[in-house]
Amino acid sequence: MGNKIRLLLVEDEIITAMYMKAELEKAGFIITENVTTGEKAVTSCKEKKPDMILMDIMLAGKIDGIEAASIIKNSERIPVPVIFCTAYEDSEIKKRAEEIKPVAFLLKPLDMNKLKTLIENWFMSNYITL
Amino acid sequence: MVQNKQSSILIVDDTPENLELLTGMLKQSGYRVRAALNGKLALQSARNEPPDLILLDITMSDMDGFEVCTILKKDKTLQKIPVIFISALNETLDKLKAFSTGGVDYITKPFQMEEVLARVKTHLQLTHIESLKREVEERKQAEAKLNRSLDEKEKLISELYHRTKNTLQVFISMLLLQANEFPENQELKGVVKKTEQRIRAISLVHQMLYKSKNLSLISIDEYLQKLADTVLESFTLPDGKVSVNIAVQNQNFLFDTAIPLGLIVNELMTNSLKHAFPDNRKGEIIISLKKENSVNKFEYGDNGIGVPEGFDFRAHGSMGLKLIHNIGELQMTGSIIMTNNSGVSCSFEFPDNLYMERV
Repeated sequence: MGNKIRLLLVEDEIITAMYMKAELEKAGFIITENVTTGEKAVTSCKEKKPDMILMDIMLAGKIDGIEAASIIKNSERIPVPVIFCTAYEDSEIKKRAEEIKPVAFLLKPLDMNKLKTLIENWFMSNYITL
Repeated sequence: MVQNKQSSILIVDDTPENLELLTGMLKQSGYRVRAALNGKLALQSARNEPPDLILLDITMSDMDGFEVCTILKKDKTLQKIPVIFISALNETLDKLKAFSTGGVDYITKPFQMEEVLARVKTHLQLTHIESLKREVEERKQAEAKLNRSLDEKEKLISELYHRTKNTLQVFISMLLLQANEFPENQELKGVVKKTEQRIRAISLVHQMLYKSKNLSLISIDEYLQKLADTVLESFTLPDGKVSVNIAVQNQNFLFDTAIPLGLIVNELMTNSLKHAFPDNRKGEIIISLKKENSVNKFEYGDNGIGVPEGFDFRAHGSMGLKLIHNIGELQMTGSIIMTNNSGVSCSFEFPDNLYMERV
């Protein structure tokens, strides 16, 4: 892969975010930004144009990760793929999340190897050359 | 309830003969009857002991029946008592006024005994039905309130599990972040990985509790299956290298029991996956749990290369083996038997009432 995959990290638990950032950077990804609210996720997505969003669901701020993802989905010309990373496993939340057709719905505590593989596989099958 | 006792009727009429006649007739029919000769006395009597029904004359000297009825309907403790007017006035207007002041019925004098009895009976029944309806309504409201508070309680508990799970993620993150500062230290890496997997084994219980219906029990079958999957995944082995065969009788376990059992399985599997199948050796792990006469029998085995001759599981200093023995014996009150016979196996028993339900 030529260019590195650029990820927007939406996670309000800072220690978890630090860990994810460290692991993902070690694996060769670029983190465009780590934001902690849904609103900031929407803005950051416009400004920094990440290739993919890693989205927590329960966030600080007025909108949750699913709403943020849905706003982003409806406003971007090319939809940005989303992976939800959440500790919540409610069927209701899961149902809402699935409506925006995410790449995956991962449960915390995160298995970082699984996350890395998922990201790589998605880009491999969707963009042959990056 | 009205129908369980004799219904009491208050008759208000300023003509003594009428009073006598009605009183006699109603008493004969089994009612408890009180009489009042004027409006004031009637109100006093009703307030002293509210009757189940009032028969009220209209034309009376001091205060007429309409006035009496109006006062009754304004009184919170008396307004539900049905009032039947009984009067010689036969104008439609009087009848309408009787109803508009709150009367439920109107009997014209001279009256037929049977008619009075029939109307009295009907209105007592209607009142009874009304009060039953009210009672049902009140019970429904109480039940709804109870359900709401139960819902809230469940949400609260499940939120707590969720938060615990989140906190465990934070622990793992901190641990790994700190370890990242020593990227060359392979020993540290191993320690961190083991600790991470132990936290995961606990976290999985919380994840399942969060989803479980009664918030304190989880299916041990499902738990061990999921746990085995995560341990296996954490080793990123080639497909088909190690298969895990789980024969666990489906039972619901309290989390107090599920967590120590999960930790033991985690240690056993970690050891097998690390040591039992070197190089290209393929293998199988079997986990079984069944209950016989209130005793749970746990058995674990791999078909790997086993341990060196003379290896003492109990005396060996590794944390994993210490955990297995201490948790299995001190916490779960079993006797751990580990053997080295075409692979490593471990078995122990623990009572099904190791912990009692707390709520």
